[in-house]
Amino acid sequence: MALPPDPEAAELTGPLFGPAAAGPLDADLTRQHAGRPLGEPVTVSGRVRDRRGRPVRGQLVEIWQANAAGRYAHPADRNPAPLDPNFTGTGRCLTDGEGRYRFTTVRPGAYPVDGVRWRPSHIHFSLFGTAFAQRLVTQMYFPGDPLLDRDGIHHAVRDPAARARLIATGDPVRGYVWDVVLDGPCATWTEGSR
Amino acid sequence: MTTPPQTIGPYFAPGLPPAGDGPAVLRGRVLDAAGAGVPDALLELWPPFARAATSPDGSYALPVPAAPPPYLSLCLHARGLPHPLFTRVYFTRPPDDPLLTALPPARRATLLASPGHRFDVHLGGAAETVFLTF
Repeated sequence: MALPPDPEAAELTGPLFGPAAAGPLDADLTRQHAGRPLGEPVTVSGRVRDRRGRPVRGQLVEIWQANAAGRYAHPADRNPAPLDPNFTGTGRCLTDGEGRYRFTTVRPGAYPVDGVRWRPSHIHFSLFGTAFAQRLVTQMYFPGDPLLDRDGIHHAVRDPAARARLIATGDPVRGYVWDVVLDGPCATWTEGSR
Repeated sequence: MTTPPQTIGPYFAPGLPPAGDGPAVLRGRVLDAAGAGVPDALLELWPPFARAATSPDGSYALPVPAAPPPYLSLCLHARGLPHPLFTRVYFTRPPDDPLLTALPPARRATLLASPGHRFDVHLGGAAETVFLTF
């Protein structure tokens, strides 16, 4: 149900993560082990804004992803593709004063869901806004991936324009760019609250 | 032009270390419409922020303040859910609370923690928890 109007609602505020939540090495997934991970090194960067276009500053961005072979370093992943001893696939950073984030990683591999379907390369993102109600967990995809057309999870977003907003721009040389706009809380709630 | 949500999937690995023990603990289970436990769901509480994943039987434990506010906001992510679910855990029943006042008693009961800080989340069925939109 829609929450009745309440300017004191806890969901209008949210956690503020200080520098302790993300160290300088946490945003570089290629330097978390003794050796370099296999695969294509890429950067993914962008800006986080709210629905009014204001930058979301100093907030936590978390990512997790499969390695270049399409395998997660997670005990539940039964994909027989090899683990990479030099890649864990998790990262985090805080947005800067303009709402920017930046990660260095490797392009995750596609992986089979069953005998027929494959998940396209994707990076899971977790973002916090200034209000808890802006909490966003989503997935970023790579431009031009032919597997996108048949991916049921990507197509769980029915609106083609909204679906397109999950696909980064750029390329491996210039880096990938993916901007995020956090939804909520509704406009009437934010009046005068920030 | 907001960015749409996507399911958290089964392999989430939050970069933030899990919250440590708090002065008190909220415990419960996340259950589907048939009453079965939901494994690998991620629950987040605010304020203060805490989070924990469910065990294979759907049970969870989250640190809470010794003297919590009347309610905490609870955000639940799970495989198969295309977006997070928001609800509230009430530890007391403020008489003028806008949400509790708006709910019929049977629905209101789904938001009340039981003595001993127990709170189950029912994703469906007759006892479905009240979920909030903003």
